Amino acid sequence: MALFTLGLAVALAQPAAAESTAGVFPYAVHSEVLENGLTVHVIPMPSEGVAACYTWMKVGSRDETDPGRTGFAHFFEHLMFYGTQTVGREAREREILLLGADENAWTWFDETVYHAVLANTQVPKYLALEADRFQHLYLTEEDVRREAGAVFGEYRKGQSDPDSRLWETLFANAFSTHTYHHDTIGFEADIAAMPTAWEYSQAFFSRFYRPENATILVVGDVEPAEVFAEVRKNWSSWPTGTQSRPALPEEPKQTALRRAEVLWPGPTATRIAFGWRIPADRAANPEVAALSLVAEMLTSPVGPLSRRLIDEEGLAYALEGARNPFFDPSLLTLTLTLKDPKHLARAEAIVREEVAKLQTAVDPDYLAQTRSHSRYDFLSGLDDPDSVASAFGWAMRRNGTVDALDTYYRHYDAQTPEGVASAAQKYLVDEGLTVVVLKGASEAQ
Amino acid sequence: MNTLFLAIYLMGCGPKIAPGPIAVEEAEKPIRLITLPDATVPNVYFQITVATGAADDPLGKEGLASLTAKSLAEAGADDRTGQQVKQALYPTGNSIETVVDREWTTFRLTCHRDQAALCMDVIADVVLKPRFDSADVDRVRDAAEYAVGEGLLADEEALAFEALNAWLYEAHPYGHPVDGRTGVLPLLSHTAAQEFHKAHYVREAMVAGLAGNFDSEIQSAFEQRLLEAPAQRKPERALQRPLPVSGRSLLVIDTDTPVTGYMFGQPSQVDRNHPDWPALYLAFVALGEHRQSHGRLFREIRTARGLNYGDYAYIESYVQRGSSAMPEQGVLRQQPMTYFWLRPTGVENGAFTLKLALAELEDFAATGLTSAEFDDIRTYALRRLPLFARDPGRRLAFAIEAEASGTPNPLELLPETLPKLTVEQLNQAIAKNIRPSDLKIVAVSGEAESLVTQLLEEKPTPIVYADGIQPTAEQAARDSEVAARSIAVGASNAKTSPAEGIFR
Repeated sequence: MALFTLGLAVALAQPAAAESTAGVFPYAVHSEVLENGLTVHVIPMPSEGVAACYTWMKVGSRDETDPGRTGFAHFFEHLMFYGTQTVGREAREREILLLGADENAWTWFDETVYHAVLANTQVPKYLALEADRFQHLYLTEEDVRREAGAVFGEYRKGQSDPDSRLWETLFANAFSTHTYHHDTIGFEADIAAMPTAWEYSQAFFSRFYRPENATILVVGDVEPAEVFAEVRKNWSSWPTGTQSRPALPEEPKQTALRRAEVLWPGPTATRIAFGWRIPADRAANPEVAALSLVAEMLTSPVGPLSRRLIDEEGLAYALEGARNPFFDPSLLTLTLTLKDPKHLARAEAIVREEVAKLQTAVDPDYLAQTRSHSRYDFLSGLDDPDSVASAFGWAMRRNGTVDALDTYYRHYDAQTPEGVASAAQKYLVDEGLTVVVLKGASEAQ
Repeated sequence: MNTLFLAIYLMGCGPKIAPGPIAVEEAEKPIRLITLPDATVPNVYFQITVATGAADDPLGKEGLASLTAKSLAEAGADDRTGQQVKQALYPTGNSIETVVDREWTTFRLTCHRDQAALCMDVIADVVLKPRFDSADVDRVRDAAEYAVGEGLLADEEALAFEALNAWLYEAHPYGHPVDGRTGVLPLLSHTAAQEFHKAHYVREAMVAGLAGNFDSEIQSAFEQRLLEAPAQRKPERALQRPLPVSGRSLLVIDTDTPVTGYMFGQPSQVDRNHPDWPALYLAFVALGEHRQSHGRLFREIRTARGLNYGDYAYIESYVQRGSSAMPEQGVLRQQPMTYFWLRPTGVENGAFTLKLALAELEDFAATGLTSAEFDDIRTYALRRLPLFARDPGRRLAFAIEAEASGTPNPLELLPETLPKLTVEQLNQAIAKNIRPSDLKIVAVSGEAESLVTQLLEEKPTPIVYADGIQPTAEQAARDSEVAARSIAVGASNAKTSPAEGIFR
């Protein structure tokens, strides 16, 4: 499982010149929806015979509403590698080996993503193997028990990382009801119960692993017509699901500042994390673009906050943050790793001063630089099939439309200093803020 | 060479810096520039690689090469302060990436083609005209102190890697973390960094590269800027072989979390110029390629028994490039180590997991691969190679690494050699070069004392399966046999260490 924080949501658009606001995404997108609801996008691009294949599933820890089942979406991602009665686990391992594919998967709040990078000549074979497991996964009780051990290993690794604990505590306190309350890896007690979850895993597969929840992306040196033909051949028989998606509990409006503390068992630098409640990631909402700019202006290495905290006063080793672009309302986060715990109050005061300044007046030059930075950061990252598929898939999951990038960048370019300040005024308020401090052992008395 | 330097040289304790400038004809040649034009991509990729790294840190100034390199982009260049360098690059959406390792220092900048001229000027300024403004250098040094002190404590797997590296290369220029030691970092000054730059960032030590969508104007301008590097000989560096490892020894680092993980390995004679390298490369892919699930260690430890999250084997020092499983370039060593990584398992299975890994390694060294396994893994390795170089920047990095180090480019060497390799040759290379009886083993464990006791006692340490898992009869028999094995480490070859202050 990979957990990462994106500074900026990306989406997609029709092909156009990179310089044009109307079409910032530089590659043509070919799309098709099969009768069973499966969506397929093919994006040809020059890539020296390499292609990326993604299967993007609309299921993540956000969907874990059943009691005692936190962490299940991620656990299920692991189980998907157990093969079918036609191509069992070992046979599948061998097939993947012979394709020379770099294959993996990750799960986060809103999705589970299966991905491979491989030679374009091997794409048809890979798509056929994927079609088999997505329709006919075969799990024994023994498989489920065994895989639970690997997930516990992953949990242990996360628990030994102060930054993971900080993130987990921030979301646990910011969300009391919505499923973003629990981290994707799940609670320890629920992970401990996974070995006996064979029946539940069957039900989970049957409910969520359905074509209407899936998007296939193939990017690189490929012919769209050939890819569509392969997908139709192997995936058309996948029956559309009959069960509804879980009704998610609505998060009540936050009314006051929340604070929490983590005591770390060993020595480590003191960290402080801020999380302000923000709207869901949708390109059509101009506030989303404004809040991306707010996050970038607060955390960039050339911004006033970084200059004061790191360069001038030397209080912090690192300043990081992002508008976290999730399907449901989430958090704009900002994290500081402090050089000395005694600077905690001073660091928080500086953060608050700089937030207040941004709410009052936004420097138009800095805004223009930030806009340019974000655009070129996005564009220059689109240089290999894997990156393109990843960026495209992320936007599709949130927006579901191929013109989302146009919309997003249109709003982005239209932001005025007043608009950015106004978004900061509306959302960066104490009534929407959670602050978590992590202290190392020597500071925790 | 003065007497002091000579003494250090003979002890094999430290590198030397021959004071420059020594203008000689060869050193005046222009910097080697490798170009890989590709007009189909949106970006231009700049890279400058310098033949210097932590192996050049003077004794008592460990971390100086890294401090110097990281200060270049942070502490000002030409008429820009460090903050102005960042500001100049900020609208381009990119920043300079600095990779420092034992022998090499690499600077990379990727830019959209719209921004190529500006980016070229900034990377040239940063590498060739650094200012080393003292406040900025101090900040870079503080960050290094944090990384090598508390940062490593927060990442037990990185801690184990550094501990194994330090132990395998004891009294050797590779034998300290690239960031330095916490005890000496406070002594490093901006003037020391300035002097280090003057001695090491010379024309003869550099190879530059340009890839992607650049035009001839950018190329000539870049070539022109590279001529600003001083026409000097690069300092000599004496690298003696690391001490050979004979038998097995154990170091257990005491940590705070209730898990046990391992790194173990041995110095290797097989560098990329060695005739056995392609065969051994394939052997290590079969044993456990980085973050891939098909390797023998992964299959036995994780897939069959669910003991941990992954188990891997490395023919040479491996650094992951970014978040993908693909390798970083610029971390090549003339004197490689081969090593194995067992990710954390529950403390109850700490002893068994090591015994199982050692048993698998012993079997592998003794019997090698079957003909069918060989065919499969070779097909895989050859099909996978293009993925290592899926964008022009990565292709450039491989080409520069080969040129700078005088070793073959694996992207060319492996397709030439692997198709001709036979399973017999592969198994001979395994038998000759993988020595499971000679290993230094580093464990990080939340229950260090108990682990040492379990590992040294000649008593079975059975696997504890998760509730309800019933191994097959064959697997259960293997488990019993493995649990009863000795790891063949005598009490005098086992030690524990607290994690805190380990790299002082």
